[in-house]
Amino acid sequence: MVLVLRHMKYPLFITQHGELRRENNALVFSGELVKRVLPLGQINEIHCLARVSLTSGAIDILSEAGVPVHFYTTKSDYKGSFVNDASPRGKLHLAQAEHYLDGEKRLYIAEEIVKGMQNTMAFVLSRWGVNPVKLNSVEVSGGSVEELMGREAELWTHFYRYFGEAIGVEDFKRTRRPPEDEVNAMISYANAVVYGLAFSSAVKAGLDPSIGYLHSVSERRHSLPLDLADVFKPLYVFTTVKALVTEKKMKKSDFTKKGKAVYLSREGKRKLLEEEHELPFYDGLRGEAS
Amino acid sequence: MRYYILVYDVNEKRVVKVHRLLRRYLQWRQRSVFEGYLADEELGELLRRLDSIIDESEDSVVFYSLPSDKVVHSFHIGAPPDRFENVL
Repeated sequence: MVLVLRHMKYPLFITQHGELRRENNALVFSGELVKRVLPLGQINEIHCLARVSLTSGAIDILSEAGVPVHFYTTKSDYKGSFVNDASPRGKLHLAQAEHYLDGEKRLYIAEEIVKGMQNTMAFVLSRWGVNPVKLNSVEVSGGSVEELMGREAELWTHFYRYFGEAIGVEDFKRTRRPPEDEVNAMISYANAVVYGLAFSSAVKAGLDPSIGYLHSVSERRHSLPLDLADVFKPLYVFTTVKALVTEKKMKKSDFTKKGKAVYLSREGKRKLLEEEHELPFYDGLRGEAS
Repeated sequence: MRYYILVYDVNEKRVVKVHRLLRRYLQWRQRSVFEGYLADEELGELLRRLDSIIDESEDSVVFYSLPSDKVVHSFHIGAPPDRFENVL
């Protein structure tokens, strides 16, 4: 498994409401707090995590540069994308569908995905100085995709336990829809961002994001980015969240509470994304890609 | 793809044009300094566009090319130069 989710160029995250438009032939973001000329040559994709509108001038520049723009709700659920996808990819999509329909081929790919998850989990834990014995002892193989999903759940159970120990939280419990505490709020948000990155990578590779292998094809969610994101979550999400927790970087005001649900505030989102960008191996991966 | 540090010395009359062109491709660092990664075809495109703006008899643009931004360590005194922010 080669870890190249990003290249030299950066994904740009916008966490404030605003507009993308063309000024003097350059792409300009003008938001509530800042106005910036965006060096499009340095950006490979744009993720709008707030209400951002695009003018037709901006769409011209973005499609010419081949930079996709992804939109999320303010709660960070994926909404949709603007992608300049002019070339037909019929053969690739047929092959992709064939690998889904052929049980043996699908099982092989699904198994590799779960193995990839196990590898990144073990890699991350060993960086934290944890010996993931229980995790490594899980035998990733199965006669069916359902069985593999079971192995995956087992891996996550072990991983959450190790993660809880690493951040000093006893009996860490993952809650979602809605996240019920600060740690879960950070995980949910970062997960959504990794989903967006995976979606973008799938689209750029020319693959149909709605056909995944571990996750079944469904009407509600694109299953390929769900497959891919899971492999990278330990690396991007949990390392970021652990750093923010153990270095006590988050403040009360970085979160908002609505009844039982806890979400990140705008400043909280910005901090989390910036921390993710500062990851030591984030640069390492970019270096390896050269 | 290589990492470029670009410095320029251009007659006042054309400096705005050059600046506007460069900021579409690279990260602005200081008044006449830009940095960033460029693919070969992007570099070619940038060179062609620069060439049509500058006057060869009095303007010059210098490109320093590096394999990656990791091989160069910089420090500064005075106000910090602009940093590329990928979270807005």
